This record gives sequence, structure tokens and C-alpha cells, in this order.
Amino acid sequence: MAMDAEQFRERLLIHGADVTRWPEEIRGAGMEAVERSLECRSLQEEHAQFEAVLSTRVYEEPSPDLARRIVSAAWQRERRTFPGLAELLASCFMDLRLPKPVFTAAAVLIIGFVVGFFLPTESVLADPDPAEVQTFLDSATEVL
Amino acid sequence: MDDRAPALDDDLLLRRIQDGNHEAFASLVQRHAKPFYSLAYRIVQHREDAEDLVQAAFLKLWERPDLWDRRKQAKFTTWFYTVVTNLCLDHTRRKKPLPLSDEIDFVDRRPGQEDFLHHKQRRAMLNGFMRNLPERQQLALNLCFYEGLSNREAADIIGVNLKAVQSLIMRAKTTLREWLKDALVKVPNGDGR
Repeated sequence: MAMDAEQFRERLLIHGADVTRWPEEIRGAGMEAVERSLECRSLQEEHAQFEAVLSTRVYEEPSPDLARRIVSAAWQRERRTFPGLAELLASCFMDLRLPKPVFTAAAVLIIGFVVGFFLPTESVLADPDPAEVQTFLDSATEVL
Repeated sequence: MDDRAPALDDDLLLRRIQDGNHEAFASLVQRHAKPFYSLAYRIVQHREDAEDLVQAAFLKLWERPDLWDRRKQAKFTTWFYTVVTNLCLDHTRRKKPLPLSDEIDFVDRRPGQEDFLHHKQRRAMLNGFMRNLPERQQLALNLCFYEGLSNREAADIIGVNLKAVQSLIMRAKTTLREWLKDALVKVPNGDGR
């Protein structure tokens, strides 16, 4: 399918000035547009100049011993067989891509639920003190 | 050292790392430290910080190799680019950015300095413009233009769909072009004339 100048301009922005590196399904149409249209050719040249300017951005090579440094730092570390609680929770939510506040709130709720589940609730579970029961019954009898 | 280790693919190396194999870890680091550093540098714009962040990411992998799950993640590099990216973004959010005006001084009248300073100032200006782009536009441009990753891979790393990443690249480039055009009109020869 033929590509007009506007479509060509959009593709230049997305895939770059080198049409030979465009995705296969649009490469042919892009090359055909360059051959056919003076406007597309000029857009391509202009975009190549723009990309040349972008390429001048500052970049510093890493230290030559970066890989060695990482490896020796790793040897000094203990490997953990079991994840910590925070990591365990994080791995549970990893796929959901939750924002941090939501993740924190959910983690707090879960921890609260777990703690609450294991704590005995005295008002329900504790045996009633027989003396307190007797006092209560006596006062109830007096009222009646 | 296992002589065959460097030729193994990433999946196999990771399986060996999960078994505690040091040579496999060394091979993986040797193979990927530079490209991951390159992305980290593009984001944080500071060599030592970028190196420390890449090291932190690899140490995390060494300590917890089970974080990489072949069944969940499509490709090791895509997953690890995400890990490095998140560490770098956290780092840049914590660090206060330099104000643009401190870096860009268009006028320098010292004799013989014009060409060198013009070049240096343009680079600083470009860096300043990049930093002023929204975070996800910067990331899309860093991944696709500077690191040469495919749009699909960048979309997976950023966590958006393909159309969204293409739109981010288009907006980033369009904005940068406008800013650069305006700046070059302001200073056509780099010497303020």
C-alpha cells in the first residue's frame, strides 16, 4: 500500500531516518515513498539531520573493570534461600503493577489480617472469672 | 571455570545461577553489564551512579535468582532492563534535578573557544531538553533511539502497549525538535551573534 507524506513523517518519527531498518511490513512502502516523492526524500534528510544532533548527547563509557567489580561484589554476598516477608509480598503483587501507595496499603491490610487472625481475642475466648460472674448475678438479683 | 559457559544462552545460565553456579553468573555479567550500564547512564547521566545501579541490579539477581521466572517473563534481557530501569527511576526521583539554566550559557566570548564551547553547550542543551521531557517519553527514546531496542521490547519494559510506546516516541521527538529549533534560532552560530 502506498504511503503518503504524512504517514511517512509519522513512520520517520517512530522508526527513524534509516528506512532500511524499518519493520519488514512497512519497509517496502517506505522505500517506495522515498523513491517516488521529493517531499518524502526531504523529510527523510531533515530527520537524519535531527537524529545526528540527538546522537551528540553526552555518553561516558563504563569503567573497564565494571563486570569484574560486580562479580567480586557478588562473591562476598550471602545468597538467601528464603525470601523475607517484604519480598514475599512484593513478589505476590509483582504482576499487578500496583502503584506504591496501593501496594503499601494492601500489604498493611494483609499483615493486619494475619496478626489479627493469630491473636486470641480475650473478650470471646477467655474463660470468665467465676468471682466476676457471681458479682454480676448478685447485682442483677438486687436490681430485680 | 567452565569453558562452555560463555556460549550458553541466558536461560541456561540463569538455571545454573539458580543452582549457585558462580561461573554462570560471571558469564551473564560479562555478557550484559555494558548494555545495561548504557541504559542506566542514559537515565541517570552519571557514570559512577549508573555503574552502582547496574551492580545493585546484578547483586539482587545473585542473591535472589528465583526472582527471574522463565514461565512469567518472556526474555531475561527484557525483564532485567525493567529491573535496571526501575532502580534508575527511583534514583533520579530521589535526586534533585539540576536547573536547566545552570547548564546552558549560550554566550562565551573568550577567543578561540567558540567551536569547542559551541559543541559542548549544544550537548549540555540537549541533555537539559531530554531531562525536561516527561519521564516515559525520555524512557521510550532512551530504549528505542539510544539503545536500539524494538518498539515491542520497549513497550514490554515500560509496561504499555505498542501503540502507546510509538506515541511516546513521536511526542518526545516532536517536542525535542521544536525546542532545538527554537534554541538554534536564538543562537544560530553558538556564539550569541
